[in-house]
Amino acid sequence: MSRAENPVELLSAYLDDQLPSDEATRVEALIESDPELREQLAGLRAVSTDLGHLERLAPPPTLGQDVARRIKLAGEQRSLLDRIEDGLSGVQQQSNIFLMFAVIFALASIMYFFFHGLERNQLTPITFVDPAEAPHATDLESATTLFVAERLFRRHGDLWAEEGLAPEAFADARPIDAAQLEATLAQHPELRGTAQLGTVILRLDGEVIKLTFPSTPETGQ
Amino acid sequence: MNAATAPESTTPGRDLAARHAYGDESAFEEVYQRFAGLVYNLCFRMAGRAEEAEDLTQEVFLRIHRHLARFDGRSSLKTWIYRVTLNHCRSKLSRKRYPTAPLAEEVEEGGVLLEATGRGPEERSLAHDAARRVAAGLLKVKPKYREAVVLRDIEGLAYDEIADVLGVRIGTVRSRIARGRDQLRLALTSRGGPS
Repeated sequence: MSRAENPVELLSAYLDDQLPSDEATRVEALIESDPELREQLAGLRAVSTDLGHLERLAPPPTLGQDVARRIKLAGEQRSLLDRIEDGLSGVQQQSNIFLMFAVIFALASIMYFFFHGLERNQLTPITFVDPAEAPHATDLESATTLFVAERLFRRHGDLWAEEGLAPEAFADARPIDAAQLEATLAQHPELRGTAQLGTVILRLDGEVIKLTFPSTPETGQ
Repeated sequence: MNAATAPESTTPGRDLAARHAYGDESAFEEVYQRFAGLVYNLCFRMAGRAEEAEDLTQEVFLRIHRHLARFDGRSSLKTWIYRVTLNHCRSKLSRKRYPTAPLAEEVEEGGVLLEATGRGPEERSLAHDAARRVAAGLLKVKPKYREAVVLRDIEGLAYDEIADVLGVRIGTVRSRIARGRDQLRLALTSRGGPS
């Protein structure tokens, strides 16, 4: 027997007639010549025989009923789980519908407040005017709101008034004559951008003033 | 369901599975009657305690009931049931620490002996003691070798059937049976021998 061969495995397989005939013959010869192998084979055979003689047990008579009861219980548990699962999916469906309505409501609210706010504040499009670049005449004609010299102006007929000033205050505005106009513009050069607006009423240094710019001849005729 | 009085049936496993799938309760009844003894004895040899074998058997039949409809007939129903039983025993008993050496007195309690030996009382008593020692020794054998030895020497399966049940090659079956028998032989020798 070579070193690679496990004698117990060979003997056990021999016992079960699992060896090819030539190998079985070789093992028989080895057993014949080796008393230790003979003893091992006898031990394995005895074990196999003893196991084969172990008596078989009949299952307890109540086992069938117990199995049937457990199957029934498992079925009930499963149907309960199914019902819970169905219920949960129903709740999920309801919550999905609720969520959909909530989203629609939220969108509707946003749109309502946006448009209502626009309407309430009369937020017509604002034209931004860079003081360094006078707006084109057509822009001024169409605009109702202008952002000039970092102030917001609204059109009131022929004049432009700074945002927040009530029309009643226009009459009380201190008019700035031509001599004062240059001095005011020298002190507040940012107001030069309002020259294009013609007549402008605004707050300056705590009082309401009325600037009237001389009209400029149109160019590019 | 009473397995002890069950008539032997030869209905093919696939037919039983198909009937079970269609809700025919008598199909599972038939499976139980045919295989309750097999499952119970296999569980008993793997667990070593009657009470545990009973629990395991119930659980195995629950599994069978749940999965029988999916039995595809690639192996015999008997092979499939052996496989289900051993898989379940492995998963359950490994969690509880596989029994490897309970007291000899705890082995072979419960159940009803099926074979009447026809021997005298003294002879029967000696045989009973020897059987107890063998059964106790078997629990000292490593579980994966024990499975192979039980299937071969107690259940009488052929090597290729064992390979099918265990999902291993025949060479592995040969090796496991040999190691299992040798471990049992050594265990019995150290206790004074079975017979």
